[in-house]
Amino acid sequence: MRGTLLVAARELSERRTILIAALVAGCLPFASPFLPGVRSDQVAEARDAMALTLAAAFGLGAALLLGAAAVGRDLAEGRLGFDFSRPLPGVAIWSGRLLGALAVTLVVLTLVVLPASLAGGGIFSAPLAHLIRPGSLAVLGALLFLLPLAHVVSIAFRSRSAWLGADMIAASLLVVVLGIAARRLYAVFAFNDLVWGLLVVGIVSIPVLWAASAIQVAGGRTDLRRGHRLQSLALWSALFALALCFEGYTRWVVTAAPDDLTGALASPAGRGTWAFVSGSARGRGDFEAAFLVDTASNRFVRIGSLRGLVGWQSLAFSGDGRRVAWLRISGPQDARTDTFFADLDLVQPAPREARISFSDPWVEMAISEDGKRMAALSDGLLSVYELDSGKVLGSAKMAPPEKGRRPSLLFAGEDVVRVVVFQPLFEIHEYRISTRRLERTGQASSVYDVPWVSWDRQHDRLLVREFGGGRRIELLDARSAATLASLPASEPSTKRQGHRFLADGRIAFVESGGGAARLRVLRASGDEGSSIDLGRVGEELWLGGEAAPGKLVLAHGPRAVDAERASTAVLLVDIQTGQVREVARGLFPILAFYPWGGAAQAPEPGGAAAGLFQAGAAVVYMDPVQGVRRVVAGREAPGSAR
Amino acid sequence: MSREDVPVVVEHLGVRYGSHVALDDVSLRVPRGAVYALLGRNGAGKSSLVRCLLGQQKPNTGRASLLGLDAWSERASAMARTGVVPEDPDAPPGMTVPRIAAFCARLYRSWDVPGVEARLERFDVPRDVPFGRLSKGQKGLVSLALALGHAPELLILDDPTLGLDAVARKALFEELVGDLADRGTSVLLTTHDLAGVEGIADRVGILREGRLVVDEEMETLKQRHAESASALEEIFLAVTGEGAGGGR
Repeated sequence: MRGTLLVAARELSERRTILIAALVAGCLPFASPFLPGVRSDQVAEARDAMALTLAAAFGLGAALLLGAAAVGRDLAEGRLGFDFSRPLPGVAIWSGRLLGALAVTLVVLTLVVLPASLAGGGIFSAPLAHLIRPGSLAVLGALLFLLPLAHVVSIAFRSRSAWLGADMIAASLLVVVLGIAARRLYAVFAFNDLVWGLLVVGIVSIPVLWAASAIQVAGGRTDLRRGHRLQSLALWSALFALALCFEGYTRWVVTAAPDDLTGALASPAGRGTWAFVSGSARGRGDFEAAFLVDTASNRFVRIGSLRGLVGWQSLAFSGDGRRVAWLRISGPQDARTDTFFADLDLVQPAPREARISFSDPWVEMAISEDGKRMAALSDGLLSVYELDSGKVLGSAKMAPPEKGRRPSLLFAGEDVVRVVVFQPLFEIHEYRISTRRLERTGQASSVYDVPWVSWDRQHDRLLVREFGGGRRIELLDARSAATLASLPASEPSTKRQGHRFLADGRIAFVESGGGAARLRVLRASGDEGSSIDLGRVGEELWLGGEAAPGKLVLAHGPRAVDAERASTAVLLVDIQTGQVREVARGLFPILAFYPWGGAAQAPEPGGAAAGLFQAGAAVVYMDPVQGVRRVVAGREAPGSAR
Repeated sequence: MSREDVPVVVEHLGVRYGSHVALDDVSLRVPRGAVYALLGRNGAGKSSLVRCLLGQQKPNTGRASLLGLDAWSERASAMARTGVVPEDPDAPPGMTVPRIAAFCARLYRSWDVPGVEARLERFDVPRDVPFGRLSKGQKGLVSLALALGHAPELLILDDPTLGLDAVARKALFEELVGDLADRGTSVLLTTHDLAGVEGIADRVGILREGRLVVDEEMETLKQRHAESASALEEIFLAVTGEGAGGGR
């Protein structure tokens, strides 16, 4: 320690000229009133800004110059032997010289800034003063990084050995490894992870640089080439280890599994066992993982990041549940939207890129019953594609509304794409692929306030639910938009909560009031059917799917949007017999999340749509009829549900 | 004799720079109180040997020890008891001699302030001129004054008279002889100044192309070459193959 201090003190004493220059530079900001363009009321700010600029320039310049000269220059010019022929340990020589250089740099910074900061009235005492401390830390970090960096670069160039070539190759490889790793996070929109990851790499590389410089001095002594070799070995092995750690971290981030999700959310297929699942993953920062998960086997397919998807509605399962297609933004800086699809009936489904892209990021899409065709409305053009080949089967101009809800698309058979236009009027259009004709087939007699639609399985009727105004629910003809029936309006003492087409075409909805609730089932025509008393239930009711034909799941609990969903109770209602029994607690039917009913078409009984439940931060599959229950994504908190 | 009794021990030392062999299996010893003159032509390996002895260069093979301490791993301890005069005086160029002396004084347990002052006085070294602006001769004399400042048990001088004029060379050798007479310091010096060293060296080593081809007492060497050469220079020329007699 004594040796270190003696050498450092000598360094300070030797760099007197720089300190004097810094002192002079510290006085220069007081000449700022004479600079052109500085108003009289800006003098203090201009002075402080000039002082900070000069300090940054002097400080960083001094760090680079002194870092390069503190050891490298004396070593190259044969003067390091003076220290090594004294009773000074090699580490003391290194630390004394480098810490001396660091001390000179800090003194230089202080000398440049101090006069202006003492004068007061400018930036240092203004509202921006709170930036001084983080700014100072950033400058200190930069100095700690640049000083040893200048040292190792200086040694590499001064030694003129073949190791310089190795350094160049290693540096290039390092950039490539870091670039690949960084690109991986960038591609999945995990920007916080990327910034923090690179920041950690930068911070950890500071002690690596200092250690490499120490090894160079203490191990190489006055032998420049040996020192360079030792420095390179130490530096690159440590930096590559660091880069590989970063590479491993990025791989770990993007290979999150559904089990790792915290706050998992799911969107199930209407038929079959697959669901789209996404959410933040444990320890993965802002990466929002997205998966396709088979709820029957827990097999899953990674499909990147939720942020990369254009939106949840830009992922569509085919009516038969055997194919899924989704739209993904090609990159954070690229507005192109690409189409992907996966065949879910394969042993190991994998994402495939379709040769279908859109320049406009906003695309409304639907896929056909068998998943072979995709309809997309983008940039004023309705087009139908063959998914496997990307071939355009037909297209027609269809300008989207200038504002408000965008149209909704649905295949009605293989040949017809039905488009529901919400604004300015509720209209239905049909595009026939075989004739390549687009025509308006109907217009609703009513104007709906914030409408959402859901379809029956045969695509010949639809339910329109109004989220504003009178909150009506009407049954319409899916082609002509003619009103077939209006669901009974809520009475003043009751509240309608959830509605759904059943698989057999009937319509179910629940209403509650005064602590009691009823499940009402209408015939396919919309006429009154049966009514089942649910007994005393919670304030809110949520309608799930059919666990089996005619056996409907619903949940009740204290509040509509409640973080404490553990207090919900799940009921299984037999529509035929009117029997109601509680089958679980702490679960929330996933279908009830979606204002339009959770699926574009009435979901198949017993599939993923009916069986998926939110259980706190986890998603579970439960079939109360078969007595099956398993976690699909996330981890269920112990005791949170039963 | 233990290693401690032999201030300099070099055993099978080898140094290579790529394919070039600078030192090849060199072994030598400098007894306590002896003055060992290591001679050789430019590039013979003298400086490499000195750097290994000073712990500034790690040999490829063999080892060197100073005062019983390993020259590489115990360098700092060895340097506490060793004075060094390098081939190129290497003190910080921006510092004046008194400041350099003050810096050195803090590094050693004992420092002979009056002695260093007296030597600098005798050498007529200006006090207020930065070291970098002194003449080559003055720098060499300052280096010697600093090397003797802590009364070292061993003195290693790497061609200390290189580039010195006759006056400076005379001053340096006189100081050296004086110190030897006073304290009996062991000395290893490399030099091209064969005439200068002839009067003070007890033992002579001659390096040729990295190999130690001569390592014996000065008197023995002279006697062995009495028929063909009388002066050390003539013997050196004969041994290194530059003279009429060729190598040993």
